[in-house]
Amino acid sequence: MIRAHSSWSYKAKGFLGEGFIHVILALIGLLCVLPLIFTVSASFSEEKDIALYGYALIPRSFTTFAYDYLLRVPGQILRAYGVTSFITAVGSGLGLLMMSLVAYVISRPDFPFRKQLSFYIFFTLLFNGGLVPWYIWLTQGLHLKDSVWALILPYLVVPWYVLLLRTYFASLPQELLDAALIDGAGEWRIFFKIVLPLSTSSLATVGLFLVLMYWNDWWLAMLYIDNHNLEPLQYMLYRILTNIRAMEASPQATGMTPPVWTVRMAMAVLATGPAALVFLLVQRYFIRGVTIGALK
Amino acid sequence: MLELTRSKPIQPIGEKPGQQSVWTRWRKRLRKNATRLLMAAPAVIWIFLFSYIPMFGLVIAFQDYRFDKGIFGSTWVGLQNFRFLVSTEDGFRMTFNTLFMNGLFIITNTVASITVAILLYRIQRRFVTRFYQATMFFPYFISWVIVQAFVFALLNSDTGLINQQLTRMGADPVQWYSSPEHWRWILTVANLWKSVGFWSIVYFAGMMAISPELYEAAQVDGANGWQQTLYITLPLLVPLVIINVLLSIGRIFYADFGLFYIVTRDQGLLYKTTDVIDTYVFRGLQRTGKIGMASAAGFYQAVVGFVLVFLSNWIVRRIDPDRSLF
Amino acid sequence: MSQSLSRRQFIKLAGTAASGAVLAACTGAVPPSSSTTAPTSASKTEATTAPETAPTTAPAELPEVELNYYFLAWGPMQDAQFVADEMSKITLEQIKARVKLTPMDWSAFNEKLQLALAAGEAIDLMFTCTWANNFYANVSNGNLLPLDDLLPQYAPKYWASIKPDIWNAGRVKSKLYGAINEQIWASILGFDVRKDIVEKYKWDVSKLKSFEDYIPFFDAIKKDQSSTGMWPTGWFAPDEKQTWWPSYWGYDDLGLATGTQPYVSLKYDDPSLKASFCVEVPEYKTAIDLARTYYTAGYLPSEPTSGEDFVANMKAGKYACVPINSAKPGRASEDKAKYGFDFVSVPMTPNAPPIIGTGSVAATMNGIARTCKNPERAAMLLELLNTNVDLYTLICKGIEGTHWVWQDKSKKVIGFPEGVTAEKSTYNPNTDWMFGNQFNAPFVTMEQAEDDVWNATRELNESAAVSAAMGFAFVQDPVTTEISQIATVNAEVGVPLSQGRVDPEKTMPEYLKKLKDAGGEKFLTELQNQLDEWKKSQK
Repeated sequence: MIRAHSSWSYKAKGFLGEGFIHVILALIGLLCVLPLIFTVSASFSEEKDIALYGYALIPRSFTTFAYDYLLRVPGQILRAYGVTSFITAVGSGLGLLMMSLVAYVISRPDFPFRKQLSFYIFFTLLFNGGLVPWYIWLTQGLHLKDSVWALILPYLVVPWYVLLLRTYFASLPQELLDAALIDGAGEWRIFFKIVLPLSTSSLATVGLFLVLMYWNDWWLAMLYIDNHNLEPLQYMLYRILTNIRAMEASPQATGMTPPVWTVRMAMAVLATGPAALVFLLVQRYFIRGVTIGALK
Repeated sequence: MLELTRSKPIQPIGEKPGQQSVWTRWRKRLRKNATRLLMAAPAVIWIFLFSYIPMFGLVIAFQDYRFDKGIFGSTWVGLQNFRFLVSTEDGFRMTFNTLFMNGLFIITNTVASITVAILLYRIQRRFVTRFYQATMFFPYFISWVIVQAFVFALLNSDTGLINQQLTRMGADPVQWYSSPEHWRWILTVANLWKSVGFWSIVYFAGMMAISPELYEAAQVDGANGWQQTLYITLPLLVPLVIINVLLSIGRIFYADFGLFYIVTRDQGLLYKTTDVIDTYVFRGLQRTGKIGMASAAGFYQAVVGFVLVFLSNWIVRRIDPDRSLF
Repeated sequence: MSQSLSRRQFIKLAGTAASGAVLAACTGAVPPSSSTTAPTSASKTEATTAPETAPTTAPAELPEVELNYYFLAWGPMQDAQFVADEMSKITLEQIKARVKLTPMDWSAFNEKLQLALAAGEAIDLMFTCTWANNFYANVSNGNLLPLDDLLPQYAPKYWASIKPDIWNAGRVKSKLYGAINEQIWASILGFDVRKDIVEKYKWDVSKLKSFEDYIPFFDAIKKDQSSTGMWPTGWFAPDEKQTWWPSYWGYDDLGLATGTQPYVSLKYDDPSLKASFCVEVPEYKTAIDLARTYYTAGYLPSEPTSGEDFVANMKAGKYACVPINSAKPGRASEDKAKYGFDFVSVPMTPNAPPIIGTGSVAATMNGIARTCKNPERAAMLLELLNTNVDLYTLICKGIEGTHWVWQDKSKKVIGFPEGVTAEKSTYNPNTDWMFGNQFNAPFVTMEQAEDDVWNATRELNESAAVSAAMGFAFVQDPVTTEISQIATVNAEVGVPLSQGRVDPEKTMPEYLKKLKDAGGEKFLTELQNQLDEWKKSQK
């Protein structure tokens, strides 16, 4: 009964052969990777070399100063790293669950309130009360100031992703779900045993976006966190950078400031590294096709 | 309840009008869908708490909001806060630029990312697909500030690589940072570069949901690869494209501030093509600090997006009701 | 993609823009470096005449309170808590108050502080000025408490140490909201020229007194550029102006510059107080023509760069001169520390004397927030910050032994302790001028002490001409729409014009027309009305 499928079981033929595809994709890939290489190289360069000779693929003279500067208080970094991992794991897990539940419900053609509920969600994509009322409500209504939940709750439901998931779920073979209903399966069971397993690639996609959203965010921390122990990694790095920039711009100089550009590049590398790793881990789920056979 | 759902599984509920009162019908509908409503509840409640309650703050757009007086004590000023958005030529220009550039972005993004997704999909070896996908995703991680530095290294008049190349080829160098006419496509390319990896993943995931049986059947019928793409893959992607385009239209009046402000280095000489609502508002409010005006700008953005989505959704619904957003 | 993105990017930008503002700030906010210590003679004499009741209240009778102080962090701040504890030892004894320091980064300062104020969070003291945590916006939003009664009663020495006409700079609609910090108020333009370049070209810097005088010098440097790769000078910010600094031409910009770009001004010695658009005054044309000459001759890179780029390029030796908008005493030694070259500071002394106007004084102030529960105690803290040298040194430089040590106690020069540098320091706000009377701060280099920088600065302030509009503050509420509209015109046409990047003949008329289209007439009329009314009230 079990038939595993790979979805590229059909072949590229015709005048646009695979060779041509490779040329195009490789070119695009190169354009995307080159700036990254320049970034990495710049992060290991002397500021002076960049100022005098511009960006280079290979650093003219190698230095790890920018990294040493960013990582000089290891305890602090580790704690920030822990905070970030926590909010990323909890936030994207909880968010993905909440969003796919509601997306499943509005993806069902026989759900009578689907249009209304979709509209209810969509409306918040456009309209918001503005920063000040939002801040006042979150701090005084929901008392989220200086709480780790302030870093998680505000991003839990992203309207765009809900509607994206709705579309993904709606493309699943509905007969299959209906058949399961007739067989006596409840909604929960259908959702967890059929819909979710059939949607690994869509869930992985949205899940990845959520992970990156939480991983990269420093904005919530800036607004709601005063306690340095609750600072996520990105915000900590960001503050280090802002401090250097501030020192540099300071009208009252007491010494040379660390090189802003190389530190900024190093920051990009430090922030990209782990997230890129997550990308590679999640990636194999993207290319997992629908394996309906497995369920039958 | 399980009984109920089982008895009439597929038929859309509310099909039978007539003898029952509205209230009874509603109660029935609710009862029938109790589990589903429960499933939707967490997100629905979240949205209410985190989006709808603070939305009350939109009233600030119509007030001369003062911090010490708050929302309830500030004076009402009608549409006063909206004036700076529409009363000058610059106001119209930034409206046009925002809609034009974002329209351009929606089209180029959609076409490019679907094309890339299809190309990725057609590669035989998974490993290679993954490799390309990974490379294309990198730009997502590089901030606009860094992009700006590289763009400047390419385009500046004194040491820029592009101008050096132009001179070497005997062409006239271009003063990029004082020639607004070039920035429509420069920004389009920058935007594409940054988002094509992201969006091609969205469409790629959509293709993964297509049942392989369809392709097998097509192969049996003798369809070649491109025919399969044209007649199976693309039509099945339509719902996904529609939803993304509709949502993008909803946000068409929100500009990517980083792209338009940082990458252009906020050069006044480029405003003719690069000044968009977010940069215009930011510049205007930096000095006055009027929350009411910021709020008015946000409201204006939402309303324009809302009207446009409503229209597009209406069109979609006319053509195919199942594909519409709401 | 999601809503949060656009918000977030907005802020990221706010950060970028801030760096521009920082540089803009230099105009007035540039602190000199150093001075005598204790209260000035003026304050000593005045102190006795001040009301004797309140400040002498025995601390024992007061309940203990905590006062927090929100300010802009401009350097490392990890040890802020320890410093605050140390400060509290003094303040508990003197005014029965504990101090809490809340330094905020540039990114957070404007945005987060405004949110906190909107939400009514408890804030006692905060830094507020023309270029950060906007003072006028705070007044119009009702964020500040009036100080007219508080300061004379609870901060008499501080109150007496500043002349009444200077206090006017902290007033809006004749109510005082800003507690002014004494620092450099008079601004002089100039360049810090690299010493080796002066020697290489054997140039007589004493002859460089105006923008015109620099032309032959810059030409000489430019001529060798193909071999040396050196520019005569560079840009500090993408919207940096070159030559149109109103004070240099004898004008007061009324503290109304948007970004770094002033667009209205009045003659500093014009008793009729007639304001006009800069583009309409005769000196503007001269200035713009000069800027055009500089730009077309290629004294600066073709595209303006950011402050970060300037610093990196200057450190790499790509520029011969640092343009400075406040040639304060001691500037050359600060630039040496920053860029690593020896500099000769060359102030330009044009036809007009240095000018003190509202804008230059309102460039650094502190305010008591509306949410402050103990305004009297906050005023007492202001008194201490401005008169108690130990307390002031703590907040400016940190704890003796940990963050600084005496290099030469008799000369009041401090330095970093063994093993500490500017980069490694854990408390070094580096913003003396933010916390109180800067002339109470210790010197950080021997040169500063030898030049007696604080006294020199004080003398400079005293010798400066006071603008006829000194103390006038514009209430912008009636014309916020126009101000917002003008901001774009100014950035689009005014900035390139003052950078010399466009043809003045063609662009100047266009600039004026666009200013008027954007509601400039209404703005100017409102400004003139307020000026006239203010003049009447002054009699």
